[in-house]
Amino acid sequence: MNKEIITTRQSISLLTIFMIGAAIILSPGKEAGKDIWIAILFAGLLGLPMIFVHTRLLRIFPGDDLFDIQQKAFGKVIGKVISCFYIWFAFHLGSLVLRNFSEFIQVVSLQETPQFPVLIIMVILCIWAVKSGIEVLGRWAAFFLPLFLFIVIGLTFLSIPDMDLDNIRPVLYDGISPVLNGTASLFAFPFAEPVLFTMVFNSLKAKDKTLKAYIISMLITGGVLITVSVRNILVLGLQNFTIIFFPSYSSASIITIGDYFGRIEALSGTIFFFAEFVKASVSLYIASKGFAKILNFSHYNQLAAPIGLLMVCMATFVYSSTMEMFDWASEIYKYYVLPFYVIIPLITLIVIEIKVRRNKSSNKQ
Amino acid sequence: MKIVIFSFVCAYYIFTDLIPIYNAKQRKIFWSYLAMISIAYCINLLVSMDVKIPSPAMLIRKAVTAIFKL
Repeated sequence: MNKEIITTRQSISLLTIFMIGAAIILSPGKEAGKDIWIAILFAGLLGLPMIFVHTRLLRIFPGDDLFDIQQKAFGKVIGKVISCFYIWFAFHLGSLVLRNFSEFIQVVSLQETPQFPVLIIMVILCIWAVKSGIEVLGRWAAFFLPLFLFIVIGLTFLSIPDMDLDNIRPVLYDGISPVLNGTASLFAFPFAEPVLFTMVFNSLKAKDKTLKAYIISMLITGGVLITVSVRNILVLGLQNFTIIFFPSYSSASIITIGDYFGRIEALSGTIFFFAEFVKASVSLYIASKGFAKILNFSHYNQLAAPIGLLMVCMATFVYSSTMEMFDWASEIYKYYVLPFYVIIPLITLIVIEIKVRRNKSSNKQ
Repeated sequence: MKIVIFSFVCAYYIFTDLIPIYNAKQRKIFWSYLAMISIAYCINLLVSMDVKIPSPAMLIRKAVTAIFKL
């Protein structure tokens, strides 16, 4: 395959938008209630060891992605079987992201419009982005991240007149158990998601900057998530925060300044669109790349279109309703991702470290 | 309506992607592409005819519930 290169800034932008985007609209970790900001801190700290695992894997095999590393660790056959699981996961994640987006559009604005046209338009853009290559996505992300952050921070400042500090007090009133529940959800989505970027960061120009890219992205993600979650609770109150499907959108809709500045929740929808576009495109990129590696094709971008169309098909039948989507995301997702985000990378690292040490000791002899 | 839109999209990608792949004599990629786009078309046809396709979300829910005893 042709070598694609992305700079450290592009990789940070890509990973940050990937992690933040859906999380600030869907607000995972609602189980923590008012103490969601504590759960976000805990989840961020929990995500750090996994970042060291990913960085170590990429450092041992610079230039290789997780698909190559798994074949080197477990052999060609078992490595390809494990790669199939990750291809399925990326494919499934892409379908979920597309469905999230179409549900959002239907719930907040186009109630009478079927979801299918929205899905198709989104997937055509994602296919176009993946066929253009990860370099184009990286440049796009580097361009849009400042705008993204400006909108998020701007909406927070404009919400200050509507905030009520009593909505967040008293701290830890319900004890630590809801916070730990929320931490588990937040770890699954978004703080453990950087594992998928082990299939992207092999394109990083400066291989020694991988850890820096991961850490900066985590810090920005944690900061933005805390800001947005606290804003949502202060503006909406706990009861509304837990029952509303898209609390960030609702809290932005409350903003009015005088009689002339209002209805700016469309900005909130815009940043969700940007983020879901990046997330769906990266998922499609990983699935296409994985397929190409399994089948020994030289170019992954030729498979982007059929895999993207399959993603749309799955997005149409994966859930039967919006309620089922949120229920699955809050109850099942945090258990479903454990093998992909934690167990398999850890086992891969342990096997690789044993092989590396055995090679070193046999070289000494 | 769904199937009409999907047919147009498939036709577009067949003309812009699949035919050049066929002309370049990349047999393996051609057959993989054709298989995937055919499966996507069939699934979309079934969904348009209101045929209920088993969702992987349900199967994953059953597996997670059984393993973690939720």
